[in-house]
Amino acid sequence: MVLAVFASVWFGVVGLGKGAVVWQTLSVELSGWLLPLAIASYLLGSTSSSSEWRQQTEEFLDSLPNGRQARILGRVMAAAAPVGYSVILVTAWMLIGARNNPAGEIIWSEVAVGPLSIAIAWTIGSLVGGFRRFRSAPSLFLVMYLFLQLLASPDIEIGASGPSQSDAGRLLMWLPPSSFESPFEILLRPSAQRLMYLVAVLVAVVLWMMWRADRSTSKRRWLVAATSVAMATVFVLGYVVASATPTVNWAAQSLDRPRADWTKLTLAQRCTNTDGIALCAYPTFEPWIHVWNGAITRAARLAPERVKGVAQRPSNTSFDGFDPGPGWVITGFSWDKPNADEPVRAFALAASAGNLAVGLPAGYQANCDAHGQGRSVVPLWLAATSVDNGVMLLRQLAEQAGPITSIGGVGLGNAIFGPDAPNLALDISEQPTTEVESVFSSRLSQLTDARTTIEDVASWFGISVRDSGQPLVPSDLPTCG
Amino acid sequence: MIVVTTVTKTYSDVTALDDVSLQVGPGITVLLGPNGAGKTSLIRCLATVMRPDRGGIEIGSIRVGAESDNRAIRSRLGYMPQATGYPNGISVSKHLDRIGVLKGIVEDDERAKAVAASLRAVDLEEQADRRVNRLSGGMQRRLALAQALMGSPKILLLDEPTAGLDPEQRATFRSFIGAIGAAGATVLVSTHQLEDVLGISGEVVVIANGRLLFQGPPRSLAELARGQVWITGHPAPGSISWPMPDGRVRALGEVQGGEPVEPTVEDGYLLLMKRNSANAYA
Repeated sequence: MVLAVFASVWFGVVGLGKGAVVWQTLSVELSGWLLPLAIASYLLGSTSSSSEWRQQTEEFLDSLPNGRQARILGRVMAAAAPVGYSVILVTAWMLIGARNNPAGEIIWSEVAVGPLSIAIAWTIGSLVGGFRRFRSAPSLFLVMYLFLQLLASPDIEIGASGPSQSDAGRLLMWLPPSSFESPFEILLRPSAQRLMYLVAVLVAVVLWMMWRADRSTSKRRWLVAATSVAMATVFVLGYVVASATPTVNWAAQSLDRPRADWTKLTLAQRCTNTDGIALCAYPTFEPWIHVWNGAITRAARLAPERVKGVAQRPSNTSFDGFDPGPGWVITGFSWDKPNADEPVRAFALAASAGNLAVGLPAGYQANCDAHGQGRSVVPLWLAATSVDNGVMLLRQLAEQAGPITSIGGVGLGNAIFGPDAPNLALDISEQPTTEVESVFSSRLSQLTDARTTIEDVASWFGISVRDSGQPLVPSDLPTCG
Repeated sequence: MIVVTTVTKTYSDVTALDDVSLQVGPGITVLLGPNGAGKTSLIRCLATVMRPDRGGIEIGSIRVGAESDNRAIRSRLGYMPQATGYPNGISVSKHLDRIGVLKGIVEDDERAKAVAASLRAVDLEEQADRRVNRLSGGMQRRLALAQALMGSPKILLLDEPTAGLDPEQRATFRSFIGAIGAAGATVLVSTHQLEDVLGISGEVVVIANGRLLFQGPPRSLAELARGQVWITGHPAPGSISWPMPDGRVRALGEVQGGEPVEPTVEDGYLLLMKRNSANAYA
């Protein structure tokens, strides 16, 4: 048990150390971190259940007034110890998470699944440990359960390159009480129903143990048993039906089939419309919508017909043939991942939106070379003036050697910029933003013209292009048209 | 008072108890019979840890069956199973204290007194702080009796309490049981060792092959052999006989030319067993 607590603590330390805290994700992950404790509880429950016949105390204890049922209830109540440990761990993790500038909202029904999993593991261990004729039952059951966990592992599912997982396979993800990761399907599940299902399972298991103790067929016992089984069935059916809704179905399919219909894919995202800009995110990522909004608003204001909004795509699947259509800035899933540098990602998003505004490629359009083109300045200026620390990031770009394609490993769209573009963008950023915006807006038709040079743009502001001191290295890519 | 009425218990194709009826009153009653006679099955049914297939059992005017009735019965009885173990790493007094809790002795003071009384009754007071798994075999049997005595039960069911003990330990055990019987409790002791009967029991019940063969005082069991116990110079064919230290032979049954002697409980029991096996083969 001590080792299990340490293992759970370690999982939590690793999990919390990975970067940004999103309450929704954390709420789901907590139960996964408690898995070592759950396994230890299962083994202890099973050991405690079999101790009476291993120690040959059962027959004597059966002759006592507080008979077998009282002892079973006592054994179930003993789950309070590991459940208490889990509550302490969950509380500690949430307190640490709360200090790490968390986003989103806590899903309490998901948080409760963690300690409930411990109680269930202990109780099922007690039940399985009581099958004295099948001494290997506890080990077999544990192996089977861990196999289910493996099947249900979202990592495996997301990484699958083959066809989508069968419905039965997807359903398994809903049944085990804990899971390490948080795919859409888990995030979209009706958590309260799942919690109730787990409570019903717990009650049913306890009643089964009680029935095995005395084989009683009393009406009250039957009534409670039937009610708990009915509850479990109703809640299972409830979330199976929920998982069959188009929203969840398409969310799940989008993991496996990137070429799924875009319109249906977006159904799984929650979109808000701000000043004509659609901002779509999967539920976990809603906390970043305001960041996306801030990043692309200025680009959308410059060219509203060219910038429709932001939507998400899984970043670890193949994008072959996937095209959401023009005007969408696509962002990935790394916002809550380890070392997620939010200002850099926001800068890149703003630059992508800027690309769209001036007719340069972004998202899944083909790459091209925008060296020397006047419009290459615009995405960088928009990014520098739209996000926190934007000017500082632009300065880093200006100091970067060679052609500009990305910042901090995050792509700036699909166009290659020359080293003179960030320098000019920096110079322009020193001028009043509204004035620059006004100039760009009035000269948008020139900006979208590939023939407008970077010197032309500099002249609009009465400045000249600084020599970057870097050689102009032509790329193999076609020039942006 | 224990009343058993036509109780039958079978295990797949073996009949452990076959229509057994008997009554056991206050004092010590010894349940005698060979191995496999059904003694343990009967004791288990009385201890409410096993249900008979047919028939009824009443203990202290409460009928065994419903869980609430069984609980009431269990609160009045102490049971010492034939084989019992103990949790690891727990002291004698702590173990008895836990048994006290399970017996429903809620008050700490009352439970401490019950533990002390039980330990005193089996002369284990000095072992109170010792771990149960460090006790010798004889002491563990005494602890089994002590845990049965927790809460001063009115009815005591002891299944082979002296099994595996040496003669000195058996004698000590008999003295413990005798003292409990003298205090007015109803004590049913199952055994296949005749010396356990001698001196302490007011009543003997003999069962074999799951059937009741005899119930009465030890003297009556001995009387069953009156006129059939002989001292002869040589083994008599067809009789039960065994050599004596002086070279003569003690024979039971129809013996020609022997000298008749006073029958013992052992003689009565052996003749009863012989008749039972003869009937079984007939």
